[in-house]
Formats: sequence, structure tokens, C-alpha cells
Amino acid sequence: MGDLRCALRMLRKNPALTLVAVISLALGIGANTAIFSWMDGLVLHPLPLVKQPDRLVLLKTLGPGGAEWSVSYPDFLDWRAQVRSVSDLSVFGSGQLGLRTSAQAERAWGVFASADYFDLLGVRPLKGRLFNPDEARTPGSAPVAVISYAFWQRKFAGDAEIVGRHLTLNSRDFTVVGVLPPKFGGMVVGLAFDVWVPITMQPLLSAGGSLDRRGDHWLTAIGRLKPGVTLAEARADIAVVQRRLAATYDEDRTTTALAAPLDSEGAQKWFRPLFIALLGITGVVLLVACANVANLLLARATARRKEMAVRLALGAGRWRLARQLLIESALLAGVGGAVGLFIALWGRELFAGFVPPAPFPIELQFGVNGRVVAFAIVATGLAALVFGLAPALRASRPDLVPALKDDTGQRGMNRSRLRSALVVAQLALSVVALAAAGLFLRSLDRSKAVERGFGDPRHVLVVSTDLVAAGYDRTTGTAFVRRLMDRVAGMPGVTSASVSMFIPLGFPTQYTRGTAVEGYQARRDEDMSLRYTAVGADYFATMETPIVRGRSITAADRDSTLQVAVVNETFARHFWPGLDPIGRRLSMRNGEWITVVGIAEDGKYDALDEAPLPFIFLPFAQFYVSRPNLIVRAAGDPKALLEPLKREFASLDPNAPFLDPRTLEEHIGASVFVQRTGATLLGGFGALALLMAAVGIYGVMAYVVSQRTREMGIRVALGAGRREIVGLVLGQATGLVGLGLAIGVAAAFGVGVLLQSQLLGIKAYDVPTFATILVLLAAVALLASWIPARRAARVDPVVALKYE
Amino acid sequence: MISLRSLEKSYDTGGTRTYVLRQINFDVATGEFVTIMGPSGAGKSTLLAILGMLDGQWTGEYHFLGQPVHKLSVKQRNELHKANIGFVFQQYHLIDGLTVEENLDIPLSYRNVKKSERQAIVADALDRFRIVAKKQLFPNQLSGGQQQLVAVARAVIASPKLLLADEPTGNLHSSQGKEIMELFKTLNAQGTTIIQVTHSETNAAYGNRVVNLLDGWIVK
Repeated sequence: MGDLRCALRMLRKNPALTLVAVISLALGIGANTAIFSWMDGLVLHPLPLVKQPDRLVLLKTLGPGGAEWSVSYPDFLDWRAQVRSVSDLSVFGSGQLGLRTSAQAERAWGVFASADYFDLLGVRPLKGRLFNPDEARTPGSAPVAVISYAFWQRKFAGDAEIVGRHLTLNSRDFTVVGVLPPKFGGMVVGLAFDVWVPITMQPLLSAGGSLDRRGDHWLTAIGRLKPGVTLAEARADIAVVQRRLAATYDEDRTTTALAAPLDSEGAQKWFRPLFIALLGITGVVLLVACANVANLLLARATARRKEMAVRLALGAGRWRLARQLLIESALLAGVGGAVGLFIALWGRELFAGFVPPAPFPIELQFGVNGRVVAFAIVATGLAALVFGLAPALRASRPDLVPALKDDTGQRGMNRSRLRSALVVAQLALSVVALAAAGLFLRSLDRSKAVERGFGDPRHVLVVSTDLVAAGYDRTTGTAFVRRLMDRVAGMPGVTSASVSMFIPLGFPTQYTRGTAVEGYQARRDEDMSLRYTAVGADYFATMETPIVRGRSITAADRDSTLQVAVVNETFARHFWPGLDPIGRRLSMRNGEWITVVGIAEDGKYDALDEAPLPFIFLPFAQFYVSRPNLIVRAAGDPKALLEPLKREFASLDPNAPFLDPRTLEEHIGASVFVQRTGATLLGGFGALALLMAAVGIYGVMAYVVSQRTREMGIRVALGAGRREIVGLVLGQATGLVGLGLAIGVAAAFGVGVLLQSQLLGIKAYDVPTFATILVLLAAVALLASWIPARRAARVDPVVALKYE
Repeated sequence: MISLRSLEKSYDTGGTRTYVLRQINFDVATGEFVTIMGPSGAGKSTLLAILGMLDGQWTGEYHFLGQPVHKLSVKQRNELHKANIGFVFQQYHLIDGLTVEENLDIPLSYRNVKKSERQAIVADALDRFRIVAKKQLFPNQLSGGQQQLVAVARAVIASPKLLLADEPTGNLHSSQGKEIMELFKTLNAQGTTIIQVTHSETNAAYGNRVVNLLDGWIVK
């Protein structure tokens, strides 16, 4: 207790040191804890209520060439009957549902799940029950729904009598049979669904794919490995079963199957490398902070040499002295860690701010939990050891006689060397942090220059709707969309308007369909599931995608006219090399031939760094989709059109949902989400590291100057002018800065190589990035040294020569 | 060479003015070897710092080699000091991190002497002061007498017209002190004007004039 009291007194006695140390540590620990909390919530433990998620595996169908497909319901039924390596096997699909609670149609995010879905996951209801096994047998026989806790609170105000109440989904009546516990939003990490219905109800809801077509791949299959079974054994098992199916069914002829860990796709797959990089950089920031605090403590240790020597002379053991100093360090770290935890709490909102608007129920379920607190405690303890140990050991070993006589002597030189080494390390670490940030920033900048295949996205507004929810069928829905496009195109401020099933460069949603191309013989391992979208008239004009040959899709392309398509250049080049594609035909598995009438310029569809891929554009009037996106190109600010558009929707049909309004630029933010998040966060952390390094080098140079006051006085007495004294100090600083930068550049090259897969269009050794960072760091470091150098130049030789 | 008229130095100590030097009128001719004596606190070292232009906070008139020091800017004063004055201190004040040779090189480096010339001058000084064997040693590897010998060599290496010495033998035993004083006498004979501060009558005897200070006043 005595040591603790003494430590508290020392911290109070040096408020400036305490404040700087606590802020440095709080920022370092806070940044690490915030990133860890994101990583914990999205990558490490994203499904807190699921039993033993590490024993769950995804079972996937593989198309020709190893393309990963979703699973068809008939294949799933066969797998469930034949796969022996898993104890349970469940399947689910998801989609939007039209929810009607009052006069207004709303959107609910639904999951169609097989009856054993919840048993497989080990999830128990908060109220009521989950699905019964018999609810999965006969299609359409079980109009029951399980709802999420959030949905229960939001739509039913937490009604205690919720079980037995009714819901209208896509115009069908459902009975609520149970409520799920909080923190369970489904099995898609990062998304939170509202309502679960048995998969056997799916045909009645006209949503998602079909249950009877073996070639309709739209479901996700999850199995639980039997005890003792390895992933490799499950892989072998599912592969054998799928070979049997391939031999039996024509639709499965070219397929195989695969078992993969649960975390091998989705948010876990995308975010893992980003979070590892971020943790690496925040680790660097914390190390820089530790180096700063260690430097401050070393400076204070110098000032306390006499105190320590007196304590030793009075009989204190060295361990006792070191212990007292370590307690002071632990106190500093403890306060810094506690403040850091608050910073981590704020980090949740920070991350949410990076997520671009998306037509998905994005829900980030991370915050401060036991694991995050434990991480913060471990980080705090390690930091205390890193920054506290060296100063404690140093300070507890003063040379008694010179210390008691206030003679700095050789030990002062040693301390200066240790502090200089810390500054070199700080600068090197700052180079690493800034280089990583710089590479991401350059990568983001490069992404703007990538040819995307459409015009300025800042002037395009995208609004989604749900025609099923509004009660339309194919005929009435087609007519509604035509009316809507006509009305919107005539609005003031609108240049052109259209619809499309798919908007490029958003969060991954791939629409593919097995396609036959006239005159083309596909290789046996070639994936002929091709990407497509259905678009309205004026789509290409609205998106400003050039038609390089033939014509675009027009209002004249109706259900009753010739089935036509526009394909992109890659399609034409790949399937009909050297031939004129206009007038040639393709078929998308319903047996009808579709005639190609135009070639659109190539574009990017899922990611800016993707290889060119064949793409098909079909007329909306001939290829009806129930959830089209309205695309509006504005002459000015598209956001100004939001309210008039909303009114137009309401005047046409008040039940037509007006969903997820966003500019095309916001929409395509998803394609550079990782780069943008990385660049912003790494840039912030890099700047933080730079600031701390600047404080560090200032501290060391100020210390060096104070140690060399007498020498400066001698030099002035011998004729040195201000310029010579400033040059002397800056010369020493330049040596440290040069060494730090050289080590940092070597380390940053290594980090750049690790980040290469996340960088768009630049190399790990991007010269402009490194040159800019080196100039910036050198300038900041020399500026930080300039202040003590000027002070040195003002040394009064008369005073300095009396200084010992 | 030096002419001081009504020179005074004082500090403001909480509303009252404390004088360190009062009404100093004092002349030194070229080639003299003047000793300033007096008890501790008399103002000897302060007077030496003013003469050496290390201290610019005073009133009165100071002419050095015909130049009105009291009217010069800090920069001009520094130039005048650099060109004409050498210093020897009681605590030697060699720079710990530099060798003997490097310590000797410092005053030349501040006077824009070319490196090749500096090497020749340093080599000559090492030879003249018989410290060639010590040139690679650091100050803490030398005895007190040897350190002061290096300090004197450093003070005169740029051929100053005036050598100021503040208790140059204060930290030396008598034989080492005698050696240093003999060296001063030789330098003076070669034309260097010397002003020394000392408590020692023996050392004062090496000079040709004594100025006594008491409580900041020159006393006869």
C-alpha cells in the first residue's frame, strides 16, 4: 500500500508527465482494443449463440472449373440422406419479404430454413417455440414464423402475448410461434434478419429460387461434423456423394461438392486480412506510445537519480526500488487502459460510419464484452512492462557517489543512448504505419481511375422496390415499372431513368444462370453459369455505358416481341471470336433462343480488380424481376430528387416500397469499402504514430540539449555562433532520423508485401508513397528537433559554464 | 587594447538592485599580463566574462582594439570575440566526447579555417605543447595538468590577441600550476596579451600588473 500511495503521489506531482503518458497509452490501448472488438465481433466470435461454431461446416456445390455455387434443394435432400460425416445438415435461403402490419407495405428480411435449422445451431427460443420437424415435410403446410428479438421489439413493442399473433408476408398469413434471443440475427455474419419461416413455405411466397429444380442453386447448407470427424474426412464424404448425384442427374453432371469451414466466406473472409493489418498498425502505435512513455520515465529517472541513491544509501534493496517504479508504471498503464476502453466503446460508431448504404440488413454486433476487456487488460499489462521495465531497472541502479554529488557522468550518456535507440525505433515504426496508410490511400486513389464501364456515379440515384410486397404479379408489375419509368423520366431535373435487377459494384450479389451459346462448344470444365441482369429501356443511356455495336434495349422490346439481349465485349470476344455477334443467339436454360442485338462496352461488375467477365443484359419487359432498382440520372444533385421521387412512387401506388435510396457513388462505395476503411483508419493511426514520434524526438533532443548545456557553453566561449550550435543539434537529430527512417523503410517494404493482395494497381514498393512519407517524416522529425536546437543556441555561456 | 569607462553590472533582485561591478574604469595595453585579484564574490569572473564578451548585460563603455563594444550588436560582438579572444577555465572545460586533437580543432572550425590548414595548425599545436602522444586520448584519460595544458593549447590555437584565464591553476597541484604559468609567461613574451583571475600571489607574480576588486569596486 505504501508503494501505491507513493506512486500516486509521484503521478500527482508530475501532472504534465502523467497527462502525456496517459493520453499516449489511452490512444494506443484504445486503438488496439477497438480494432480487437471489431475483429472479435466480425471474425473471431461473430455468432455468440451458436453452439460450437468451429464444428460447423459449409457444404457447397462446385461448378465446372471449381466455381463455388450455392446449393439446390433437391441436392440438399440427397446430401441429408447420404452424407455420413455430419450429424445434422440444414439449409437456408434468404430474401426480402413484403410485410404488412397496417395499411403501409414494409420490407422484412426473411430466412427460409429447413426445420432442423435451429436444432443444428443449438439456438433456443426466448419465447414460444421454434420449428417442428413435421413443418418441413409438406410444402405450404406450415404458415408459421419465428421472429428476431429486435423485430419483436420494433414491430410489436415487445408484446408479451406475441406468440399466436399474425403476420402478413408477401400477402400470406403467418402465425408467430416464437421469438429468438437477442444477439441472434441469423447465420450471415454482419447481417440481422427479421423473420424465419419453414423452407417448405417458400413456394407460396414467390421469393428466392425453387424447391424442386435441381439446377436452381440458391441455398446455403450447413452441417455439424460428427464427433471425431475431420474436415478432410467430410470433404471426401461429400465429394463421393456428389459424384453419385452427378452420375444420376443431368443437372449435376458437371458438378462436384466441397466442405469448408464456416469462416471461409463472407464478412469473416473479407475482413480478416484488413483487421490483421489494422491490429498490426495499432500494435505499432502502441509500441510508439510505449517508447514515448519510456522516454518520459527515463528523463524522470535522471531527475530522480539522487532520490534513488539516497534510498539505496538508506538501505533500500534494488528490487524494492524497481518494484516501486513498476507500480508507478502499472498505475499509468491502468489509467491509460481504462480511458482506452472508453475509446474502444466509441469505436463501434466509428466502424459503422465506414459502412456504405446497402440493400441489406447490416447489423454490426460488436461492442465491449468480456473478451474485449480481457484483451485491453493484457494490452495494458504488456504496455506497462514494455515501457516501465527498462526505466525501472535503470533508475534502481544509480552509481551512488556521482549521483549523490549530482554528477551526470557516463550514465547520463548511457541513458541518452537508450533514449536515442527508442526514438530510432519510434521513427522506424512510424514509417511502417505511415507507409501502410499511404499504400492504401494511393490504392484508393488508383481505384478512381479504373474504367468502370459507366459514367459519373455522383449524378445517379438508385432506389430499390419490391413488387411482390406491393401485390404485383408479372403482368401488373411490368406495367407499373413502365409507368414509373415514364413518370420519372419526365420529372424536372431528371436526364434519364431506367430499372435494373443488378447494380454494379455494390456488396456482392451475383445473379447467374446456366447459359448455352449458339455455335459454341463449352469445355467440360467450363462454368457456363453466366452473369446477367434485366434492364429497362434507356438503361445504357442512364448508366452512360456506351453501346459499341448494334442497338441498346428499348421500350419496343416487349414480352410479345423477339427475345433479345445485349452482351458485353468480353462475351462477344470469348464466345464468338472473330465473328459478328449481332444476330447470334444464346439460351438461358428455358430452351428459348435469345437474339443478341447489341454489344455494350465492358465494365466492372463486382470488384474493381476483377478480370473481364462475360455479361448479359436482358429486357426487363421480357425477363421480369420482382425487386428492380430504379436508376435515375440527374442533371444536378441527385439527392434533390429524393422527395419528388418519393411523392411520385406514392402517387402511382402508395403500397410500392421506396427502399434504400442512395447515389450510385454511395452504392459503389462497397467495392472500395476495404480500401477506404483501410486508408482512413491506417491514415489516422499513421498520423497518430507520427505525432507520438515527433513528441518522442522532441523529448530526446531536449534531453540531449539539457545534458550538453555545459558543452554548448564551452563551444560558445570558443567562438561558436548560433548557426553552429543549431547545426550541431540538428546534426545529431539527423543521424537518429536517418537511422530510424532507413530501418523503417526496410520494415515497411515487408509490410507492403503482406498487404499486396489488398492493394489496387500499385506495388508494395510504390516509390511516390515511400518518397512522400520519408520527406514528411524527416520534415516533422527535424522540426521537432529545431525547437531544442534553438534553445541550445540561446544558451548563456556564463550560466552554462557554471552548469554541472 | 582595452578601455573600460564607468562599467557597471547589476541584477534586479525583487525590486532592489544588486551591483556586481561598480564604476569600473580600467585600461589594458597590448602585450600586458594583468592579474585580477580579490576575495570570492568580488566580481572577478564577471569582469572576465564581460571582457571576453560572453556577457553583454552591462552598462558603461567598453572599447576593444578601438571598437566600441557597448555599441555593437550581439553578432558583431561575437565576431570580435571570435577573432581576438581565447579562454582558459579553472575546470578546463574540455568536451568529454572529443579527443584531444578534436578539442583543439573546435576553435579553428568556428573560424572558417579550411580543413587542410586546420590539420596543420592542430599538428603544430600538439607539437608545440608536447602533447602529440595524447592526441587520440579523451579528456577523462588525462590528468588535471594535462587537461589544462590541452585547454591552454585550445585557447591559443586560433592565435588570439587576448588570452583570458579564470583561475587556470585552481584545480592543479603546485608543479602542474607552475608549468601552466610558465607557459603563460612564454605566450605573453611572444606577444599575447593575458588577463588572469587568481587568488594566488605566486601566480600574480607572473604578471606585470595587479588589479584588485572588492565588492564590485576596483580598489587601489
